[in-house]
Amino acid sequence: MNPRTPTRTGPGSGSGPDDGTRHDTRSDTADRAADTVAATIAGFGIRLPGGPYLLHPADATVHAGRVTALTGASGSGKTTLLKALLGHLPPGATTDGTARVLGHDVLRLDRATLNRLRRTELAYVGQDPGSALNPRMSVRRIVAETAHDRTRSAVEALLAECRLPLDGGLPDRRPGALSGGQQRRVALARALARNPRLLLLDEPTAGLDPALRDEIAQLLRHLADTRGLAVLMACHDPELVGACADDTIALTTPGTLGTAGTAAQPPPDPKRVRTRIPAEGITPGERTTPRIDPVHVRPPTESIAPAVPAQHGLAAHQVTVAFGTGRGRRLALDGLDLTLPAGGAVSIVGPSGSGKTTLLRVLAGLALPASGTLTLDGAPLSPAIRRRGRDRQRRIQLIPQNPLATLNPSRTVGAALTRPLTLHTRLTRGPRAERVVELLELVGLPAAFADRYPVELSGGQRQRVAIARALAVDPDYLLCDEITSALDPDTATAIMDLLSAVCAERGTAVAVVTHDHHLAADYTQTVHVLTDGRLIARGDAATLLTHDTGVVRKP
Amino acid sequence: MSTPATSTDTAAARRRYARRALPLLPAALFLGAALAGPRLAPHTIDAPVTATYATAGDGALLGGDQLGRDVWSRLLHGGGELIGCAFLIGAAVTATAALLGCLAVLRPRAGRVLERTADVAILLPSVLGIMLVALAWPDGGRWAVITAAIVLGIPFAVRVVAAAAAPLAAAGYVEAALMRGESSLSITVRELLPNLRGTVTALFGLRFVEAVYIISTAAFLQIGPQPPEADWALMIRENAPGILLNPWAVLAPSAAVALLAITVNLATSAPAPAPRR
Amino acid sequence: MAALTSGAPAAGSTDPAPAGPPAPPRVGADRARRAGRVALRVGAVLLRRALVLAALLAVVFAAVEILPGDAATASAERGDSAAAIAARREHLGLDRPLWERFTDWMTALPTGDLGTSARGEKVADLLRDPFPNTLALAGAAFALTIAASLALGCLAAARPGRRTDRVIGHTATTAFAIPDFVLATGLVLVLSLWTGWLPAVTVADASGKPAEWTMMIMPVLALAVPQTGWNTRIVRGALADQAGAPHVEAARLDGLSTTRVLLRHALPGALPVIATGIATSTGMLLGGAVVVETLFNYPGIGTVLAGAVAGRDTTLIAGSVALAGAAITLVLLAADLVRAKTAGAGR
Repeated sequence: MNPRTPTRTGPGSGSGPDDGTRHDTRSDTADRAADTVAATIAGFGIRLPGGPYLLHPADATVHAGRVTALTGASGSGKTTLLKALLGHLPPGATTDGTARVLGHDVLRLDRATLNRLRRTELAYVGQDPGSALNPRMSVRRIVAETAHDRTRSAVEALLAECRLPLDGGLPDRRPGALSGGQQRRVALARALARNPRLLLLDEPTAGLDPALRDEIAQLLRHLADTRGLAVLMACHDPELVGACADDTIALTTPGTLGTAGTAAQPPPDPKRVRTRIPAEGITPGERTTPRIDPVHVRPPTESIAPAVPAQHGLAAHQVTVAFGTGRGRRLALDGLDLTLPAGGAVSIVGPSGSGKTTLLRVLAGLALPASGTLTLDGAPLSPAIRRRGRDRQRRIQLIPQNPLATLNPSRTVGAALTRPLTLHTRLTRGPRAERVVELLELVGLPAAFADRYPVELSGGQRQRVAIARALAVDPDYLLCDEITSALDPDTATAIMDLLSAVCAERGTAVAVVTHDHHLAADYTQTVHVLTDGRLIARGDAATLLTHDTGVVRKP
Repeated sequence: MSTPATSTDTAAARRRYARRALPLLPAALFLGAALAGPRLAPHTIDAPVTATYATAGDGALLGGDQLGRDVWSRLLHGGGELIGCAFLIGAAVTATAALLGCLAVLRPRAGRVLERTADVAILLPSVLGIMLVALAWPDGGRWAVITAAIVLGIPFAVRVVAAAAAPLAAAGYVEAALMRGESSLSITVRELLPNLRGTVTALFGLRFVEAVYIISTAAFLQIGPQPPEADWALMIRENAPGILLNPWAVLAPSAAVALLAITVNLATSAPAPAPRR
Repeated sequence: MAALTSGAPAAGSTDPAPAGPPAPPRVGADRARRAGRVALRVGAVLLRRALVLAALLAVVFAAVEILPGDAATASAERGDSAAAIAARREHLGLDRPLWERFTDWMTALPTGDLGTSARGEKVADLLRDPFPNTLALAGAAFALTIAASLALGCLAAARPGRRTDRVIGHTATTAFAIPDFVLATGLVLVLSLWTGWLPAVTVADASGKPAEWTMMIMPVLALAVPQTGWNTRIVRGALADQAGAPHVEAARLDGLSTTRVLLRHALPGALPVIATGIATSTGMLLGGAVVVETLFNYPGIGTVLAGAVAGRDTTLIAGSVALAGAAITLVLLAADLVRAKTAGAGR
């Protein structure tokens, strides 16, 4: 089923994920692990004074020669824990319990000792290693900077160990001239150059395609086996956990603390993870983000018939958007069609960078297409919001993405809701105030919120106000740009329930941009799947996103 | 992630407020003294009361100047106009730049024009610009200096505001305002400027200090106030030859100009300039 | 996909390499093409700077024309009759059409002809000796301010928020706020009149240069100190921005020393901003030079310009503006070069 299973090359490893070899490996390393504890935390939690826990108190142990996976929903503190093990805390944070790393109480070390520890025994590779590499240094100098042995041959041996090609001048290139996967391996080489005893990795495969992910998994396995390195990796990718982890530490957001995995707890089977049921080690309720496998998708553009121009609806025809000029010119959207029928609900999904937000901004009139046209109820619609005329401006409204910036921090909720009424209705002061209260009630907020400033509201409450603000002018089309991506799952569901109920009641059409396939399937009728600025699939949301159609791969 | 502020510790808030107000104190004291100065002066600015370059204490607190006039009285008279003009320039430049800077961000085409204008303005040292305007407009007097300082100050100030406003222009509330059809002016006034208070205040301080510099430098070069007016910069120039006989005749106005610039600068803690390219 | 066989990872083929490894046989062609691109970019930058300079000159010319009073009236004595002024106007060529005079002035500039002063002398001749002296003074102050502000800015950025940082920050603000002529007066009083260490005025030797190098010290200090205050803030600000960059953060987590993180990881990234910032403030330096020169009687354009102000000689000032603009353009070009060198092979 999976042709990209890791192929191990290290000693003591077999040639596949079949359980036999895996357990052999595990028992091998378990013997060594018994006497070498690389890091241990006991009741260790991190919080801001008077604020929420950034990391809920947890117990765990990381052994030398073993790969330990650190799992948990986003916001459960994976990165915070990794950095704390490096002796780095968020500004002003306090800790409970203890964290010992290689025999040191790492958060109470003096500056010099801590730096020596970081310089020689610990290594950390962050979530986006490409940006963590100095863009003005060559690969060779990047790796040599932290190395024990800075000779040319030693550096090249390290690069080779990290499976980087030495021919073609790679060591003399700068990070900007490398691919994402190469940058990741250079960062790993830099980390290994100091010959560390504990390697901390944050999402080592985020954003990589499965082939690269398996290569990284292989490499980690190899390092743990041959160097006796302790590897702790924060990871939300069950397949990677399955492919190379010996132990699993699951962090939880609320309530109980995570349990340190032992050899007795089997890592999740990659095959099982492909179902919709959350795998063990993954917090129940976490929405694992389905990926679209770029390798599998053969853009069947010709098979997708152009949308029939609807008489009633907001539509984009053959829209192309380009960024940059000359050699740097890149198409964000490439001849795209989309129709949002009156009263309907459509979703636009796709990986980040696929152009889905740009498409929404074109419909909104905030981004100008290089070519293509827009129509509203069959009549041409100006691509620039300023040229649309008052009534058409009223009919299309946008709910922006980031809850932190969706409301003006200097103005009260009441002011934010009053302004659209002043602009688009003839209501006098008294009725306007009544209308504001009605709008707040509509989105489930008490009337007293009118006097609050955005800073006094939670993320979910702000998005509710943003919905009320958009609905204040009684629009026909509502454009929603990832409005729940920064919210926790429960709040996200509540916001989407509210939005779909209100829109159904008023007959408002909704276009939802999201990277969350469940959300798209649950709340919209038609889904548009984008990759690299092109439409690769369109159809019934529930069918297209729930079943394996060969276009959208589900985990 | 910021969390909603739930409680406000009033005592702490008051302490914070006091700490924020503290840098304002020297500026307030100094400006007050300079503006009230003419009422406190014991002598007129043009009547000789002592010997030429008489030393301090001999009937005149800070001695006499090159014509035997009272340095202390002239010092008290010399600040009002300088401060008034600097305030006018600072306010005019800041207000114009605040509007144009936001416009530059909201209307990219206007932004490019303003950016090119700033490129040109960089090539003109303000001192030379003032000289040019003052000479080409001989009857302009003080207004020539003020006009030149305003025109020359705006391009750089627009850049500062635009740099601060650029991230805000991408914020959701600005896009929502665009979507409901607000005009650029309305977005500037309602959505952008309320969130740029820090930048605008700091910019005003910077422009005030710059205006003090330009006006006093111009006066020093004898553009603007003419003798026998009492003006700090003019006093420095006039009394320089007698600096050994009565150092106060030069030191006192020097200290006054320096203190004016320093206290106002401290009060508004100017932002580091951020050139965009 | 197919490339992934065990033992032959062949990263280059599976990774979508954006810039791609240049294949060996094409290296020569690539190099030629890259050289062509660089030449094109250099040409574009030069052209842009030249256009901006031309725009400045046009503005200067227009300002002189639009504002009331021209060289003839400006240089006229009180008793001059209208006929005498008209004669002067004709003598100076001011009666010709505006456009013709503008093109004449502009086309003459590259040949070194800056026009004729109100007194009928060639502006170029009046500025030939003093301008290099001014450049020497401003250049020395410029070098000093770059060195000092880089050192102070780095020192402050090494321990953000600590006492050193705060002291340097406040001192820089204070230094920047003091007008140069005030500072110069103070320096003269202390270093010359009270202690007698340095000469208070500059005496020119036979060649028109300052007779002794010690005479340069005070003018250079008076210029450099306020400028350093400003530039230190630029350096500090740029380093603060870089301190948040992911690779600087990563270098810190790698346990590298503060000095190394600052000099090897933060500073190179901050240099483009620093270069632009410092270059942008060259105008203040040149303007300050004019004032400081007057005060120290230094044989530069300051003294000539002070005379021009007294004599109401607009052409002379316009000529100086053109020269100053050209000098600043050169500094900006140098900053463009630094930026291109240090911007890195980013993405």
